[in-house]
Amino acid sequence: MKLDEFDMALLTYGPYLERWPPEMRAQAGDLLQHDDAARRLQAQMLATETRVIAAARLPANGALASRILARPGGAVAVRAPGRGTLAALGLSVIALPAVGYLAADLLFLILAAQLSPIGGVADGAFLLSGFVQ
Amino acid sequence: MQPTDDDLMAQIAKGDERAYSLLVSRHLQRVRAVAYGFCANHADTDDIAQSVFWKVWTHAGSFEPGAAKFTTWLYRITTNACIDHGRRKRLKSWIGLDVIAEWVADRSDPAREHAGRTELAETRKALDALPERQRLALMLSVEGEMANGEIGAALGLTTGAVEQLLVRARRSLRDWLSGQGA
Repeated sequence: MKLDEFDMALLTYGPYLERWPPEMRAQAGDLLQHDDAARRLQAQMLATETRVIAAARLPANGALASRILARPGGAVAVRAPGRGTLAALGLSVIALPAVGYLAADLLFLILAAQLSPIGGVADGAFLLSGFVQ
Repeated sequence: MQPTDDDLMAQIAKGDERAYSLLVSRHLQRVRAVAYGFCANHADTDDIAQSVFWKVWTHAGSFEPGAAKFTTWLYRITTNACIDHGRRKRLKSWIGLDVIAEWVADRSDPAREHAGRTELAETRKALDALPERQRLALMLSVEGEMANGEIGAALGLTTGAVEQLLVRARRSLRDWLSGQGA
């Protein structure tokens, strides 16, 4: 395996060789034994992914877990409004007279979606249609 | 011996709340990490996680153990919830509701303020700069520890398409972070 092939495999499969296709692991292992540049690339990718994991790490939220677990026992599952929803409600009180009935309709639709029992995750959301980028 | 996820799902489909509790405790943090990697907002992350597990509870009967791994099914729900959330957020942004909501959320989030002074903030910027699909594929790979084929099943893409997303995402991140002295 050449260095550029190793780099492409790093980008494709990540820094952990055990997650690479079996046929590539041995070749990569050989390269890593005698090539400093390959070791540097692997270490760099490991550092990058470690930073990604750290950036996405959140402290445990006991209140959230309780809220989730409280749902099955309840007859009706209603999501507690979050800070964003409360802010939106506050804004709506101030803004509605100014922006008129059209804006009121829009706000109502959004808030209704926010407060819906399944948080706006429609049954049809399994389909990834319209998923652009 | 610990019950498998498939065992728990079979129990949940019968209305077993203890099985549900165990499943939630097993997967909640990772679902939150994937969602946070996508949306970068604590309150939104928890809304997404809540909707994901509500879906697990209400749709447990439709899960078929032989058809897919539980984690593939779970992360498919998670990615759809993230996408759905992103769409609603863009609509809010269009009519201007996001400004005050974001201001309130940011002001009351000490962890985020702290991160602003550390290298995590730079990593966060790099993640946010990625296109949605690249970010989701990367989070499922890095945090969900899913194989590329499983990510494809979760995102509704071929393995080849997922690999292209991952190559671009990892290259962009590596370039960005090495430019920051990583």
